[in-house]
Amino acid sequence: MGLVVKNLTKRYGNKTVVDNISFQIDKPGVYALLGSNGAGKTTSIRMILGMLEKDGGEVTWNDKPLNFDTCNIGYLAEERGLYPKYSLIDQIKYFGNLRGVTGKELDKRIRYWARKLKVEEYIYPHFEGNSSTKFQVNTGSKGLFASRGRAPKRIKPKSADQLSKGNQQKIQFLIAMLSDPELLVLDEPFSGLDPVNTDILKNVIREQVEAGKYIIMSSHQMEVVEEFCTDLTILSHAKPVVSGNLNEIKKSYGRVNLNLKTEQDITELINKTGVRLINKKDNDYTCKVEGDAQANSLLKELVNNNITVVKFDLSELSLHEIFVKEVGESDIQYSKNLSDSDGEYDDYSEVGNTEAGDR
Amino acid sequence: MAKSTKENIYNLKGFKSVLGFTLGQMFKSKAYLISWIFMIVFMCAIGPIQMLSTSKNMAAGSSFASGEIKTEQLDKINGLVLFNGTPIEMSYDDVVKSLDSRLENIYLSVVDNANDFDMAVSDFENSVSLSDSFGDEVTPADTLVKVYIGIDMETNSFTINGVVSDNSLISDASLEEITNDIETCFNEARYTSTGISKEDLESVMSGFNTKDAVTDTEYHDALKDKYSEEEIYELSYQFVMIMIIVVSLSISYIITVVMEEKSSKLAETILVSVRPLALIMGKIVSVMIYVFSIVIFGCLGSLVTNKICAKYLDAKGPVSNIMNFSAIFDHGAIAVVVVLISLIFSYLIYAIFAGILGSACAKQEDIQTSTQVVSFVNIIVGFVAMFGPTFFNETVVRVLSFIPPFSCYLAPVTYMVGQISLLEVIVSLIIQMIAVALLFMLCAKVYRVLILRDNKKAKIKDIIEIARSKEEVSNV
Repeated sequence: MGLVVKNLTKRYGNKTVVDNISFQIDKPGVYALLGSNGAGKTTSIRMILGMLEKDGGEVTWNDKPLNFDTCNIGYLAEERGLYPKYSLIDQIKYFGNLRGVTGKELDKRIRYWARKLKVEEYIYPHFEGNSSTKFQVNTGSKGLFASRGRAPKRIKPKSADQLSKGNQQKIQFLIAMLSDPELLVLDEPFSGLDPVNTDILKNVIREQVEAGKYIIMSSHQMEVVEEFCTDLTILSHAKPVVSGNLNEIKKSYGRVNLNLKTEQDITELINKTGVRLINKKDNDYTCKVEGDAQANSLLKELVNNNITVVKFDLSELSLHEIFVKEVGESDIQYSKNLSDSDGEYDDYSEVGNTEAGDR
Repeated sequence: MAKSTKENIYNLKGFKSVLGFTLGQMFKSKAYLISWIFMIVFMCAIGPIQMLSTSKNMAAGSSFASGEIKTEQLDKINGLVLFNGTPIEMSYDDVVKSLDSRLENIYLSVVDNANDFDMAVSDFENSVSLSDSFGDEVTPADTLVKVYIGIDMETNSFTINGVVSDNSLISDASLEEITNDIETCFNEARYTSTGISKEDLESVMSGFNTKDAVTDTEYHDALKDKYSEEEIYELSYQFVMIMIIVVSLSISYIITVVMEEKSSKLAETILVSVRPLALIMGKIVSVMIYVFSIVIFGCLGSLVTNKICAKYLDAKGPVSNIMNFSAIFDHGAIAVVVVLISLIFSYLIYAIFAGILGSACAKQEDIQTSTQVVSFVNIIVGFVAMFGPTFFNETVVRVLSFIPPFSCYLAPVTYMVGQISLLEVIVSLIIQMIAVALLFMLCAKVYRVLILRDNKKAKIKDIIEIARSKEEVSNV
C-alpha cells in the first residue's frame, strides 16, 4: 500500500536524466528526494505526478497507477507560479474547482488555510487599521457642525504580482492543501520563507504527518529535511547514490563526529591519538574520529592526563555531511567516467527540457 | 502489480472549470470588456450611420424634384442644355423620355448649333431665380448642365461630354447619370436612324450568356439566383471581413492566455489538477465564446438598428453590403447556419494552430512571431476567398471550397451564390470537421510536452517530432 516508485527512468536522446529510481512510502511520513543541481529531482517528481512520459518504470498508489483520479494529490512546485494580474481569491477558487472542491466547502477551506498561513489580508478585502472599525468619529468638535473623521479606506485584495516571494509561496501552499490531499509533493517548500513563516510551514507539515498524509519533499536545506524525513533518496547525475531510512543510513556511517570542550588545551593529545582536528575555538574542539574505538582512546588519554572535560559529544554524520560525501564522490566518479569515454559531452541544452530547480 | 496503460490524452476532465475561469477573467478585465462593448456598438451603429448619411443626400434630390429649394440641397439641377453636333437627330421628346423623372421640372433645351446654344444658356440664366438662401456667390449658371455630343475626327467616334461651372452645385454622380442617360438616348437615336426596328435593336443590344446547364433544375436555379460579379464580390468581402475579424481577434487572445501558464510558471501546478488538452480546449472555447458573442450580438444588433432606423427615423438610404452586418440574414436560414458552422470550424482550426504555437513559445517576445505566423496565413486565405469567387477560374474555386482552411471562407459564399450545391457544402463542412478533429489530436499529443518546455522556443520540426513520437505512456 502507499506509494511505490519502481525503476523510474527518463531519457532525452542518448542522455539518461533519471536512471532507475526506486523507492516506496508505505506509511504516512515525509520522504525526502534530494540531489545536487541537475541530478533529476524535478524530472522524477514530474514523472511521478504524470506530467512527463516515463521511459521506464511505474508509479503506483495503493496498487493502482498513480494519477489524480486514483489519488488526491497536492503539489507545491519549486517555481513561484500564480497568475500575476488576477485576484488571488479568483485563482484560489479556480484551483479548488479544478480539484473538485466547490461552493461553501471551498470557501470554508480557503478561510481556514488563509488564517493558518496568515495570508488573509492578501486574499480578502478589508479596512485599513482595525478591521472591525468601519467608522471613526472625530471628537475634536461638537455640535451640529462637528466634523466626522473620514471613513476608513477599503483595502482591495492584492494580485499575485504585489506579493513577496514568501507570501506567494504560502498562497501556493494553500492551493496545494485545498483538496485535503492524501499525497503531498513539496518541491523546495521553505525557499524564500523567513524564519517565522518557516516555522508556520513546519508546524503544518507536522500536522499533516500526524493526520496520516504521505509527503514527498525535495529540498536543499538539509537541516530542515533532517527534522522531518524518515526515509530518503539522494540523487547524483541521474542515479540514486543513497536510499533508505535516514537513521539506518546514518548508522552505517558510524559515529564519527566528535565535539568536545575542555578546560585545558588538548591539541597534543588529539594528535597523539590520531584523531583529526577540524576546528578549534578556545578549548572547543570539533574533530573527526574513525569510530567509537578511537573516540574512546582519546577519552582515556584525557582522563589519564587529568584533563577536565566539559563536553564530550560523539555523534553520527549529519545529512548535510552524508550528502556532500556521497554526491562529491559521485561527481568524482562521473568526471572519471567522462574522461574515460573520451570526454564526449552531451549537450543537455539540446534535450529540450529544463528543470529549473536542477539547474 | 499495476500494468502500464496507454494514456488517455483526450480526456477533458477539468474543461468546464478552465472555461469558466478564463471567460470570467476576460470579462473582468477592463480592456477585454471595453473591446467587447466597442465592437458590438460599432457593428450596430455602422448601418444606421450609413443609412442616415445617404438618406440626407436622397432627401435633397427628392425635394428638388417637387420644386422646393432648400439650403441643405447638395445636388441642385435647374437646367439642361444639350448641344448635338452630330448629324444624328435627337428630338426634345426623346431626351425627356430618357431622363429620370426627377428632372421633370427643369429647363430643358436641345439645340444643334452654337447660336441656339448661347441663346438657350442666356434664356436659362434670365429665367431662373435662386432663393436668397443660396447667397450672392451662387449664380443660376451653377445649376446648369451642358451636354455636348460631337464627333472626334481623329478616332472617328462620337464623343459626349457633360459640363458644369466651376462653382457648380451639381454632384459628379448626378452629372454622370445625366450623361449616361443622354448617351443611351443618343445610341437609340443613331440605331433608329439606320432603319433598325426597336425589337431588332433590343435583340442586337442584349447579347447572350452561355452556361453549361446539365439539368433543368440547374438551369432554372441559375436563372433564378443570378448574382452579378459585383454582388458576389461584396458578399465575399463581407463574409471574409467577418472571418478575418473573428480570427484576428482570437489569435492574439489565445496565444496570450496559453502563454500565461508558461510565463507565470504555473504549468506544473495546473497540470496536477487538469489534463493538458482540457486546459487548452477550455481556453480556446472561452475565447470563442467571447469573440462569437461579439459577432452574434453585433449582427443581430445591426439587424435591429437598421430596421429601427429605416422605420422610425425615415432613413431610406441603402446600407453598403460591405459594412452591413445584418445582410447575412438576407440569404435564408440555411445560409446563416452554414455561415455559423463555417465560422466555428474556421475559428477552431486557427485557434488550435495558435494554441500549439503559443505553447511552443518560451518567452513573451516569442508571442509576436507566433501571432504573425497565424495572422499571415489568415490574411492569405482571406484574400484568396475574397477575390476567388469573382476572379478565379470556377473549377479552382470549387476545389478550394473543399480544402481547409480555404473552404471555411469559401464554401459559405460559393453556396450562397449558387456555385456549389447544398450537398457539396455539407461535404465541405464534414471535411472541415475532420480537419478540426485531426488538429485536436495533434494538439493533445504536443501541448502536454510543449507547455513544460521553457528553455527555448520549439520549432516546427520539434513539434512534428513530438507528434510522431510513438512511445507508450503509462498511468495518467
